[in-house]
Amino acid sequence: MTVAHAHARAHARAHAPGAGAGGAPSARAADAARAARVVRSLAHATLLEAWRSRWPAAALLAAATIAGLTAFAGAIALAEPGAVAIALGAPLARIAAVLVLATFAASALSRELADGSIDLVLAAPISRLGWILGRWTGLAAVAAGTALAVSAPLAAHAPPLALAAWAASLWMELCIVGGLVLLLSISFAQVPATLLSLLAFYAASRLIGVFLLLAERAPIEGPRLVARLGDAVLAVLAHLLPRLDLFARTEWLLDAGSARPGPAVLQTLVWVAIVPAAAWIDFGRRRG
Amino acid sequence: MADARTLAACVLAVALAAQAALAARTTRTWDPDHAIGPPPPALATRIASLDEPRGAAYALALVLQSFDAQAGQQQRIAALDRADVLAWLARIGAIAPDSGYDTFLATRVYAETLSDDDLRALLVQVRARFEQAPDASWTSIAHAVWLAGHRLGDRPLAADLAGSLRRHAGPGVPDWARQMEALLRADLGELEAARRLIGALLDAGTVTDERERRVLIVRLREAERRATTDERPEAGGEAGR
Repeated sequence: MTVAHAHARAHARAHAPGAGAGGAPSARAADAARAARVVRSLAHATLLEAWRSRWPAAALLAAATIAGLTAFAGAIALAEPGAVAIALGAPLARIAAVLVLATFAASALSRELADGSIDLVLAAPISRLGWILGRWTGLAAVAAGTALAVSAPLAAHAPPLALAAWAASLWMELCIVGGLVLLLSISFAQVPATLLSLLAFYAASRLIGVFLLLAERAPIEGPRLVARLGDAVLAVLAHLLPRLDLFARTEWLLDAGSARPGPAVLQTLVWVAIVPAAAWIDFGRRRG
Repeated sequence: MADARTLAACVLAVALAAQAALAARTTRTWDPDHAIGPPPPALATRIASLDEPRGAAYALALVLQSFDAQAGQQQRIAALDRADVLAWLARIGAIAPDSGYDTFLATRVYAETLSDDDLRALLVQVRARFEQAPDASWTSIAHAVWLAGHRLGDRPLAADLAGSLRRHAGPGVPDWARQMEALLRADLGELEAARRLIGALLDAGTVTDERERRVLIVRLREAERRATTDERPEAGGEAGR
């Protein structure tokens, strides 16, 4: 089933006799119920698309690589083998999960936007916001599968509760990454441009904490104007970028009871609002 | 079409064989200076690891501990450049202060090959690291006490290291490790300090095993007896004169 077919099915369901008729609901409630059905259908179609693509193989390959690396690192460590395995495996798991999800999302979304099948979708009574939310919800489901796959190899070394907090935090990080891919795909509609921009954005978001610390301890030197400009750029970036350095910290797995997922949850909630709003505006601007 | 495919398969097979032959003939030379070189800068390591300090520190530790085994050969650890090794250990500890891997490598792998002066400097470095992360490094400082006492023969340094272990020991540190300083002070003839420490250990109720209590008391009595015996000939000499 292609995404366009899913839209057609969602459209048919939305207009089926009795759809939204639960007693005497208001027109607004019926609209909301129809929109929810569209989002659900699109999310389901995205999940199905992932399942039929190479995403499962990519996720399994990532999990196998992490399992191999953790086993190797633990075997050659002279002391603290479990800690060595986690400290090397968890960061790799994070990067692998981001790459697996981003590659699938960028290729699926760019294809739909570039080959014109999006126009077929939007010809049906599906709002742009509905398409954005449906696609993003589907990506969140794919993100959950990816997070589970890459976390599994760490289960041999990490305490279960800490690993659960870490995996949940990784899932939230992947939801933000999925949203960013959605935004970038709408802007570029090309896989290489989308992926390169995402990687730059992701690295900056992971390292913004380090850059801020550096700017505090070693202020930018040079002419005053340049220094001020550098500080200003850094300040703007620090306020706009998601603080992905707060997500899925390896220390949570190494030091029992040190997990602090609160800031990551708040950060995710903020980006749950930013992504659809920005995507909606950009989508409207590009497609008239 | 079939011929073209067969030709492509033949070319691929020959090319793969050539690659294997090339790889086999490429000489894997040992670093002639046996120098690992200075460690990578802390900031570069942090950025390269996307701000994952523990992962970066363990990766550096694995590189360091494997440096003496290259290209299928084993090199004597004593031949490695000591200054570089000590700099790597310090960098690993600075990147991940909560880990005990660097102190483990320092005391169990590299300490045996160092000169007395280098070893003394290393033990002081290990004590500083232990005080940063007592739970992770207490086994290393306990081994450092042994190195100071038996390898260097420097019992005052051993007692100082044991004192650091007693003062900073967390709840996970066993009693024998806390008792080392008292025993070393007794052996050194520092009776007042030994009495105070053993008294404090017994009063705190941490030494619950009767045999351990007896050992502490016996060692103190022995030290007192030794001190008395040492004083007697001196006193006799004075009298004889």
